[in-house]
Amino acid sequence: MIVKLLMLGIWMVLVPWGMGYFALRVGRKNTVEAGYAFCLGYMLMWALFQLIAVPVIIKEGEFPLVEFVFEAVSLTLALAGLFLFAMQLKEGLWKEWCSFGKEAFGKIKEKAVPLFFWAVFGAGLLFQMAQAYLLAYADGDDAFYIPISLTASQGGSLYTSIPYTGEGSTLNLRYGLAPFPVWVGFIASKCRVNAAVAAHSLMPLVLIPVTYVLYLEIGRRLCSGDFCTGEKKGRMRKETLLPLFMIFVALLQIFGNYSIYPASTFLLTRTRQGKAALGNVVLPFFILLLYKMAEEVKVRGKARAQSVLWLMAAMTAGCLCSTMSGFLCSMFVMLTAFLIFLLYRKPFILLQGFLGCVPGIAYALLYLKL
Amino acid sequence: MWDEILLLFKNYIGNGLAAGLFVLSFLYLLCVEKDRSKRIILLYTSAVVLVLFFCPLFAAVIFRFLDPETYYRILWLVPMTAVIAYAGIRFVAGCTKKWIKTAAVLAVCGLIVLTGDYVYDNPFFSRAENRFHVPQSVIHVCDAIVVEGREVRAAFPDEMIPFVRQYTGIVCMPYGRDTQVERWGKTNELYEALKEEVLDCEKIAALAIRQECHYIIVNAAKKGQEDFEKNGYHFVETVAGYSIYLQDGVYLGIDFPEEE
Repeated sequence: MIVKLLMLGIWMVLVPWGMGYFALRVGRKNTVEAGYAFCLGYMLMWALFQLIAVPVIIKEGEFPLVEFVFEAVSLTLALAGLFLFAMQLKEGLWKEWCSFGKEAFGKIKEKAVPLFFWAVFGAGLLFQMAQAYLLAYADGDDAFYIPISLTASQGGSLYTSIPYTGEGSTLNLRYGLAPFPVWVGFIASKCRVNAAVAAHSLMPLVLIPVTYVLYLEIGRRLCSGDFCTGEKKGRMRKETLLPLFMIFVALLQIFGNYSIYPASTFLLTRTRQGKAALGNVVLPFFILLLYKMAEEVKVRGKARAQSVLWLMAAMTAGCLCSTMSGFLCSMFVMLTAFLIFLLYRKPFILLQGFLGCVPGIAYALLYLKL
Repeated sequence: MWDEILLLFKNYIGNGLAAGLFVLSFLYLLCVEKDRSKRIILLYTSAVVLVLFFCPLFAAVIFRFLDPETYYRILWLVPMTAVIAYAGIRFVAGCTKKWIKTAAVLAVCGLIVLTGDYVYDNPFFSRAENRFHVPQSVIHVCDAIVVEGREVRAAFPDEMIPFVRQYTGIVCMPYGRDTQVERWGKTNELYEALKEEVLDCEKIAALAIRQECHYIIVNAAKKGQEDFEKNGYHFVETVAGYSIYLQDGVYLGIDFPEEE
């Protein structure tokens, strides 16, 4: 079990983080935010998987080819990221961390309230992870998705049989263009477990925290401005408000089952499905990225080219999760870009938004044409 | 079209209390939030998405190209979680006295809890019997019938259908979960026959042979199953409360004669 968890950690934490770190650090000297690198890494990892898997699926190739190419490329990028991180540690990041740690430890009494809030949030998160492992949620759609993961990881075939029955069939592009179950199969293969174990028991242990890392990054950006600087007497500071924000987010997820449709319900009931990943990882990433882009437009008049690239990656990652994603995410991006344009009067953001939508449009056209 | 949209919306918001909390948070932020970027991401985008969601013309276009059942996902573009949580901290941050702050934190938490619905109360949750999160009986039955290196085909009772192929890819079935969902309109006579309280073994066996089933699995408590013995299937064993019947004379080895 330890080896399986270790493999899970490598493929669902270290690899995306390494990839994200590499993307943010290569050729630059800036400090990389670990949380943002992790979130971006997920988008890059899923986008890469989508770009490799879909052509193989359309050409009726087999899973080992996808596995081999994805493994080679993602490991190379992740190792490059880890190498850059090691270099940064050597350049003095380690000393910075130590002094920060000492300073924080020295003020531990002053930080009692934020620490208490963080502990409450941490307990809430652990509770959700434990429940995901200990409770089984009977969802009919698993009868479709998990056999796809299983036949890929065990038999090597991709969309050549009807998942419900096992009878042979031809490729249904509605599903073949969004091969999230194949990625689940990849994780199962790497962890050397049955796809059902990977999907139901292991993946929620990582994907639920991934959602919270995203909200943490969103919260970090929202906790800015006059209201949390602590300059006015009695005002709460960012360091207190951020864990409070996370507690509210956790409560909204745990008590978000007001119907079967909200993304919050999907997060804690169907974590292993592509649509849950779309609603709880990809869409929050779009909120984060589009907010960053809006800030860039405010300061520079246009978004950074890098942000447009990440937009494209996130769009491709969304297409891995759901065929509907191309439309949904493109609509969200163009809508927000239009609003940014209206408020900041900077038309270039429309072009940048459109460029970000290109992968989504391409997959949507492929779906309609084929 | 309008009725369909309204029904989807009603189904999405449930009792509407959480949506009410969102509206409250939205209006609060509309009053207090001055940062334009935050207003765009949290407020204006939400408003425009909601307007589009309720626009029949927009819905008609979407319904044409995409599955109408998934139209509700447009509402995922409304960042409800971020809006409510952010409004919550803005509200708490606005309080100055210590006891008022504490009360505000408790009030926001209370509002979220009271307007929401505890996810783990969902009746579809049950204690996991194993790491596969499939019923243990399915695992026992599948382990009893699988032959490593080849596929076997079996007709399973209703309650086992969704789980069999999550556990193993080498057990095939003549019908699957798609037959269970009535609105999808897929029918299978064998599936219907196996659902009957008293089994018509002659009919079931004939259908199972026609649909190339090596095995028939039935709940051991079901009446009338002895007659399978007279109709081409023989009893193998009872596993986890389920009787396993194997087709007479069927070959379940892995050495197949070479084709000429």
